[in-house]
Amino acid sequence: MLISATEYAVTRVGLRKWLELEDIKSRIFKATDNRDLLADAMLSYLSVAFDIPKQDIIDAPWYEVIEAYIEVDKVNQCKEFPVLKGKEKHEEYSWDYDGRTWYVWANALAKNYGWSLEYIANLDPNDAIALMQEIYVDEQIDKEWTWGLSEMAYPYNSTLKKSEFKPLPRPSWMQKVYTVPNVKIRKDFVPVGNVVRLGDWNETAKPS
Amino acid sequence: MKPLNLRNALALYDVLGKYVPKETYEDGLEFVGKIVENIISANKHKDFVMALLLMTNSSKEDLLTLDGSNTVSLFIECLTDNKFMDLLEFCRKVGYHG
Repeated sequence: MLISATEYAVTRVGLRKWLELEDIKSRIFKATDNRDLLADAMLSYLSVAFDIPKQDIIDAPWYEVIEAYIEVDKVNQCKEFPVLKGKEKHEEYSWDYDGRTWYVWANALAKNYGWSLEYIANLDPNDAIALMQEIYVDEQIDKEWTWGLSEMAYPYNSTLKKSEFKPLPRPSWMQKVYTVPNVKIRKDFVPVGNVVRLGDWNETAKPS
Repeated sequence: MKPLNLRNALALYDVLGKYVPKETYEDGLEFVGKIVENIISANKHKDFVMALLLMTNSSKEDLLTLDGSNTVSLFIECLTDNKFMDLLEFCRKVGYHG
């Protein structure tokens, strides 16, 4: 990858750098109304990816910077793990700080597998995410077991006059995905006239 | 002429973004012509000069020495060198609105 006539090798990064790049990427998409922040985030992204000071590429043609960003991002794409698709909003804690994500991951992986920080930092992000998902699943199952043993899991239903089991809610990414089944309908039950399917709804399909 | 760095390219978008025609143009020259036309019809010649100053990195005095047609061809040349159509595409994709 050529930036300002200097060749940079685009390689897949380890977990620690990947987390840093993801943090910067979220800054890029938040800086859509401020050119200074957007440009700074883009340069920071490449600075981290290539291990170079931002100053080295600050005057590079804009399109070379963007091409490099796209290339680095492509090389560092991960699988679409369910854990990454959670809809829960990230709560802000008083003990949060910039760069904490890495320590949260390192803490969880070190605690569960006994690995050193250096080893965890160099894990492939795909492996790390898959393992983190397993850690979260194990934690949830443990919590559900403990929950099932507590009285709180069996609230009294005054209408039925008995206690009913209330399962511990699971995070959205652990919930079953329901798909609407295709149901065959008898021909004489099908509405008469032109049927407009919502999926095909566009300007031309709109009734006049 | 040195292509713009990212910060200045975004500054160029801030200046010219509002004059970009909504219709799509296959011909780049026609597209740039429409931008110039939109600047003129909005009576914002200052933005034209501002964009040129950004892209050429020259002084106002230097620009004033150029005649009208030379200025327009310089403007077109600068936008082409700076891949302005790609810049618009990038800003659209990233959601940058200045």
